[in-house]
Amino acid sequence: MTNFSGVLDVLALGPLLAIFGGVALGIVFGSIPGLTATMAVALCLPLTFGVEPVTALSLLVGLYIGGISGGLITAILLNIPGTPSSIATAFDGYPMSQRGEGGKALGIAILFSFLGTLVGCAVLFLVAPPLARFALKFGSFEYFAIAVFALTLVAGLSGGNMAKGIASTLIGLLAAMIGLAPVDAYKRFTFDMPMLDGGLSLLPVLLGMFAVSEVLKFAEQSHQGSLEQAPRFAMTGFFGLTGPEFRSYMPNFVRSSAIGVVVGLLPGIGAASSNLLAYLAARSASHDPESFGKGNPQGLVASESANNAGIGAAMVPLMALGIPGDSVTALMLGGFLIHGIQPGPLLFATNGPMVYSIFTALLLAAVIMVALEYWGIRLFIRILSVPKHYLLSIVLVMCVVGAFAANNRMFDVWTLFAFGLLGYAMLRFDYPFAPLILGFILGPMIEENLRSALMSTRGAFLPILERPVAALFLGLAVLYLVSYTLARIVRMRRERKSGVDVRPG
Amino acid sequence: MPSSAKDLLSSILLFVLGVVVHLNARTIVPRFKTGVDSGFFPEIVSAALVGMAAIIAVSALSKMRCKPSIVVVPDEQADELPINRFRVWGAVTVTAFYIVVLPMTGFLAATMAFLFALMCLLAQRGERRPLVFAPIAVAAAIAIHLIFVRGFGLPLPRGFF
Repeated sequence: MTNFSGVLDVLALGPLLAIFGGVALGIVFGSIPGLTATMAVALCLPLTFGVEPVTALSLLVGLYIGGISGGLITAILLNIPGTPSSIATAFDGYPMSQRGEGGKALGIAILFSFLGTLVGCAVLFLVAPPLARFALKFGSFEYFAIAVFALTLVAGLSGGNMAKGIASTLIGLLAAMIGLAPVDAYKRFTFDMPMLDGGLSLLPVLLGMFAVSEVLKFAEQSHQGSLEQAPRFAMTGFFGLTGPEFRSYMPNFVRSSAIGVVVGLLPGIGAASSNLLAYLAARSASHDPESFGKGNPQGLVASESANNAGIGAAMVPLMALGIPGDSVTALMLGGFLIHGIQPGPLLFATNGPMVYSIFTALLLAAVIMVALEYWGIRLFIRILSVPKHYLLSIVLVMCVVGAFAANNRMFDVWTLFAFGLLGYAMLRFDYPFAPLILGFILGPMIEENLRSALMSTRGAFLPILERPVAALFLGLAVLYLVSYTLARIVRMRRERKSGVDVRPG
Repeated sequence: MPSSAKDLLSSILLFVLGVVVHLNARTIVPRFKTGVDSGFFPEIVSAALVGMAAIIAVSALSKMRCKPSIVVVPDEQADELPINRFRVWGAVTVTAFYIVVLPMTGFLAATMAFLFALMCLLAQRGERRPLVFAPIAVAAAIAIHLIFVRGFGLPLPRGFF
């Protein structure tokens, strides 16, 4: 009964208002390109100093959930992910929106965001301490192997041309190498420019690739009449879904949520990777992988289930061990400590009501998120009726502001511009964006962990294979690459036999 | 430009990038006796990039040489619209100019001018209404400034004046 009092604490007016306000503000931050959940939590953290701990943590939880989920709106409607956690949402959400199914795409994304959050909450509540201890056993070897495995999945993002996909990944890896090298802090590719010492930030790179290139793509069209169709709401049934459709998405939902949970549990990987990995897994498991990227709702299900399932999972190492897994949970750790709550193994034993309060706040925030976004769909969809010359101009300014505000320096704005030009060039030369982003995110992780691992083994590679988890993921990586290559060879032979050459678009 | 020519051009650019990065990476001095040094990854990645550039180039050249018996062109490619290079380069120039003047003039003045110019540039001829764009640009710049600076407390460039 003592622990249950934590549930009742959240049901008071103050915490409820804090959750509502947090979710609403989080959605606003998530949906504006350039603003992220991290920024929302960072800006609102000082507001929590003078309030009760339950109210403070309720606000932070609401901001986190709203901020991660809000990115889906602009990803679907404008092809510009509001946050890095919604990159893969744009792949299929935007094509659906373009063919007049924006309402349905938003409905599916919102529903599976909600369900994904519930999975993350369940993981947090049921198995937090043992899972957190298990995740802590992962060392440099395991992280290296997981990152390599994730990078091999890039083959699935390559579209029709695997060589171009790999080249795009390599460009991402090279971009991530700018600045101080991991382990020995050697300055690489900085050309004696101090602003390059810290490397390139993900946010300007992402916004440049997606937002600036989208503006330039729009600019190149002399006659947009046929492209700018009148927006249609087109959402019937339960969140735009029929019963059989919903059931058909369940295997994908379960798999993607599991990916989101695993990625969330492991400190340092983050929702920016989980949505891409879940998308790739869904594409690989699909009987019709070619339909991905052209408006297949399964892509939305994968991305949104994974990124939101990661929220509860990311709270597991924070609450059970006191270790933040990403920037948002690092700020939340600050929030805990400010209010005299020490996260760690003893939290569950000594501060049970607080654990129940946080769990209840997560659930309520998920419910408020789904309600706000569901009722907001008709409002969001109106974005499409605003002429694009207004919309894209203002979005571009938002991106500039977001890039500047991230580190308060103009260099990030120039990064945004440079990657916008690169993104547009890649678009014109038919190179996919997504592998570059994945390479940029995973590159430092691969290098840092391999170098740390090799230092501990005095330069020997073989001990990596003696670690079961590392060996498993490296084996999976090889297996995936071999099976993918064989499948492509078989397909090419079939096409040659039939005498038809399909040129990639 | 045909897709094979585009591939060939892009492969040359990638090749040059790979070679430049590789040569630069080889100048990195090792600091530790065990493990790998900071030049190891750039060398591997740049070498792989050169390899990929070669594959793309070979594939493009073979496409140029042999004509397929039947060519199936996806619909999107068939419907591809002509590119308005003036607007693309205009948008690039206006954005670059905006980023240059932003720290000098401050957010408000630069953004008002940028929004107005970009709206004029992106709008179709029939939709180009400078008298409507001007107040929208002013109002949007002020609104964004108020939201970010007053609302969220985020600093924006103030300018020299």
